[in-house]
Amino acid sequence: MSAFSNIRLTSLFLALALMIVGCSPAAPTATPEPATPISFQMSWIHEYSAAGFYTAELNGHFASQNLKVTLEQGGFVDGRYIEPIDEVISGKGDFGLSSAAAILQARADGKPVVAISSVLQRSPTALIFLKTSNIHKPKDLIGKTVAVSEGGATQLLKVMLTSQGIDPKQVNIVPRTDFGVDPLINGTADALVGWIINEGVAVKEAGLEPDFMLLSDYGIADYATLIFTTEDTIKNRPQLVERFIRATIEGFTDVVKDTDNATTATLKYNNTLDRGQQLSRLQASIPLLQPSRARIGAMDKATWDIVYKVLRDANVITKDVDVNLAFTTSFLDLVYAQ
Amino acid sequence: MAAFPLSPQPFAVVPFWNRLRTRLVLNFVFLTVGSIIIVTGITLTQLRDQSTRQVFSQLESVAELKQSQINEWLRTARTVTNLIESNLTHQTSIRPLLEKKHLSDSAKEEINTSLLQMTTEQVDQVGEERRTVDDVFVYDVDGQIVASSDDTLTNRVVTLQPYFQPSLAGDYLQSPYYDVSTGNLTMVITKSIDNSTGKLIGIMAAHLNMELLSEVTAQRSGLGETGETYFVSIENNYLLTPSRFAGYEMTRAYQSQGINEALKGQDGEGIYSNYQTPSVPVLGVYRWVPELNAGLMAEISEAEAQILFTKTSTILIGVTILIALVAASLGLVAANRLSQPIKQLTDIASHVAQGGLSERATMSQNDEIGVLAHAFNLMTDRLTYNIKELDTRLEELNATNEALRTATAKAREAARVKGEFLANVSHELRTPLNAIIGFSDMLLMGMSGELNQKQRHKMERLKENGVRLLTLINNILDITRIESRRVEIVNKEFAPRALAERLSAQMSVLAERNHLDFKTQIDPRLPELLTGDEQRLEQIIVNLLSNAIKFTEKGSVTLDFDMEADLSGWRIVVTDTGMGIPPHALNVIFEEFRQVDGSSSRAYKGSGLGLAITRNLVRMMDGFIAVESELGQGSKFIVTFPLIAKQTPVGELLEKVEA
Repeated sequence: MSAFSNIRLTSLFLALALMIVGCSPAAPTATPEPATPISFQMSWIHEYSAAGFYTAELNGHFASQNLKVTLEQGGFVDGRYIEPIDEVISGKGDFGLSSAAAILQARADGKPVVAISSVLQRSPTALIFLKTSNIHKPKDLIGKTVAVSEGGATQLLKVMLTSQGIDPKQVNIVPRTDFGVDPLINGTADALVGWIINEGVAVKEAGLEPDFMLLSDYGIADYATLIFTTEDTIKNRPQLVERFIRATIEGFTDVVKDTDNATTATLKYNNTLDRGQQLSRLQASIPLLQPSRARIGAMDKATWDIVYKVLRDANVITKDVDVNLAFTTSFLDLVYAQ
Repeated sequence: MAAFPLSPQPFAVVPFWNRLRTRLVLNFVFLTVGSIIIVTGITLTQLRDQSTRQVFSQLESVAELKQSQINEWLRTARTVTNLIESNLTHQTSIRPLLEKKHLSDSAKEEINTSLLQMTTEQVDQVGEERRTVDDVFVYDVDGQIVASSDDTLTNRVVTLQPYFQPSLAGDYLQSPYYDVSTGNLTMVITKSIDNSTGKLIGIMAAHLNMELLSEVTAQRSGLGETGETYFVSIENNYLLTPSRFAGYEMTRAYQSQGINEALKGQDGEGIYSNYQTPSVPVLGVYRWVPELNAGLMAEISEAEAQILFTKTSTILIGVTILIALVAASLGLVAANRLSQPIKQLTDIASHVAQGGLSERATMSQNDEIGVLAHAFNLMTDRLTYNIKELDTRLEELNATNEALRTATAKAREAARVKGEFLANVSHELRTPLNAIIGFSDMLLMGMSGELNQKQRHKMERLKENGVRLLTLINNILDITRIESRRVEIVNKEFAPRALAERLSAQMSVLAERNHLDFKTQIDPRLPELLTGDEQRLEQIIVNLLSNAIKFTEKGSVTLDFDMEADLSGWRIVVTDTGMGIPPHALNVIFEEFRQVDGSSSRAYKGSGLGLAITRNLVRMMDGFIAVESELGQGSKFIVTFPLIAKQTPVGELLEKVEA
């Protein structure tokens, strides 16, 4: 075939292709709507616990929902803890990550925040100790030194001890000064309150065998990582909320399927992290992300009720709060309806 | 004899692929080696299928065995749980405890001790070698553990455990799951505990000893070096039993074609990638085990599964190649043996074709080629004989030709001499004849005195016969000249009308004497001047008119000069109303000394040479003469000439005349 006819064929195909494109109803005749910018305030630095958000970005789930999501790092900045609830209430963030206890406290304080999905369905908060410590049940803590962050965590520990018939004074409760597991390793503490998927793994990484008691196994349930927004956003931009939740759940679904890829996504946001450490923590998180074939991101009222009851009974929350207003599963229902 | 056209290389070199030898070898290889390869291929395919089938059925029976072991294990676990529950509810104060009746710590401790004892003694109860149940615990309807064989469980809440809600509805088997509280793979059987009125007051639950599950799959007899059975949970695709391969993790989402199919609830088999090392293909049998909510996989690496087949096929392929080589060599030898004589024969044929008739094929095989060689030799013999025969005939023919050529020359010479003789004689005869006619005229004019009537009559007779004799001699002279090629046609311009008038005047006297009408017609289209030999034309016309007048007793004679219809020539037409010429005579009237009727020839004067001369003259002038006649009605002679007469050499003209 001559070059000429080649050119002719090519132009014929080109013309056909142009016709088809031109006739297609899907053709973007108008300029596409620009992606909606969203600011998401995380509760901690970039690491495995938010892997689903990085994965949603990396795998294009945000983009397919036409969202341009900025993931704002949390934690301490200049010695001040960035409180996601305050950031979202002030309008700096559209969505944020917080715990059920913090949401209920905020509502008691009159801040109109609403939880819309839970990243971890089981709380990873536990008393963590060494297997060699001879601690097997709460009563074994009597006379032992327990390191716990001051504030809400200390209060919850005391509630738990009390519920087990232990006078908190019988336990030497000391404040945690850092977030490592050194107190356990060098023996300055017999136990500490932390996350099994974080400090628990850290103990293993230090070459020691950890043991733990989940606070939730003693009735101190919590949702440690909740996605929340304001009542205004839910009322005025419900479709935006749905799109964000849909993309996020797709992100976490990918995390469960492929922790390697999720770790890669995480390290894109924070290259100072150790890949191995992030991967093992992420793998430890999977049963909490999706226990027993649960729907990823799901919450249930029973757990919320328990959380509220514990906090209110212990007078950690000093005012009555309507739990039903603190969270909504309507967006999850929409996402899973399809 | 013309040379036989032989190219310098009479037999072209046969292209390689067309050569008999090549084709024979190829055919042999295709037929023999091809069929060997096909047979080997089919055998290998079947062998492979068979071996695969065998492996699959082996894996199938292993999977069957594992499944039955699991069923047996679960059956035992249920029996043990039932036994413990029965003992618990009958022998301890568990019901009061669940009904929130105040019990002393020692009473509570007693229940725990009892539970522990029942857990440790289960081996004796069902005759198992080890514990089926790890520990037993009892929780109230709020999910709070009130008694346990393991005191670290006491006071825990199980509301978030997956079995809690189902256990409130009835006895339940919790399929394996990853228990966040312990970090272990866990399976639970629950039993409802009712009060005396049948109301649910609590649940007894037993953690199953998961080691047994691992032991079932750890048994790998019949699975070779790479084979294994394992369970994959529907929960996060976690392994329920350890992998035999290093580097595995229980809590990792494993995927493979078999795993995915099994977790969709399908049983089957296939060749697919290993779940841990996708580059390794495995033969796998998979089935869905609903009690465990898991897939049971029995797999073996394809390489190991096919090892026997691989060995067999290597040998088979080796033997095939060997046979193929031998067959190809035999084919080559056979092809050589078959094609060599043909090549020899071709060479000999080539020699023979180039004239080497003495060559003979020397093959003496006892086959078709031998017969062919023999036939070829016979053919060459025959060819040699025929060529000799032809040579003899050719010599004879040459001799005959030579004789004929001499005879012809002699005949020609004789004719020429005859002609010359005739011409000379005629010439010699004319001189005295002219004298006779001259003296006759003088006597008739009375130069020797007045003649009487009788003398005059006799003298007139004398002159008349003298003139006829002169005419005859002139004619003979003419024909002789013509035949001896001494007539020359001299073409020049002449006026046809003048010719016609002159002849008309001359011939009308003759016609009147015979009481005939004489007419002359000239076609107005006739050119004023024509080119031709006027003297010869005149002779032709006079001849034709003389004949017409001579053979017409009454009526008319007409001379016409006209043009051919297409104007390419002109014609002289002489028409009479005479006796006509019979059809059989039309062809001969132009021959010498012929008149139509021998009898009538005597009645008419004339030598019979006139028309012959006329025809010869016409031909010499590039003309054409024709006659149309009807007996008793008259004749019409038509002489046609081309409009421009050609100056033609006499020799050439004569050849035409002869033709």
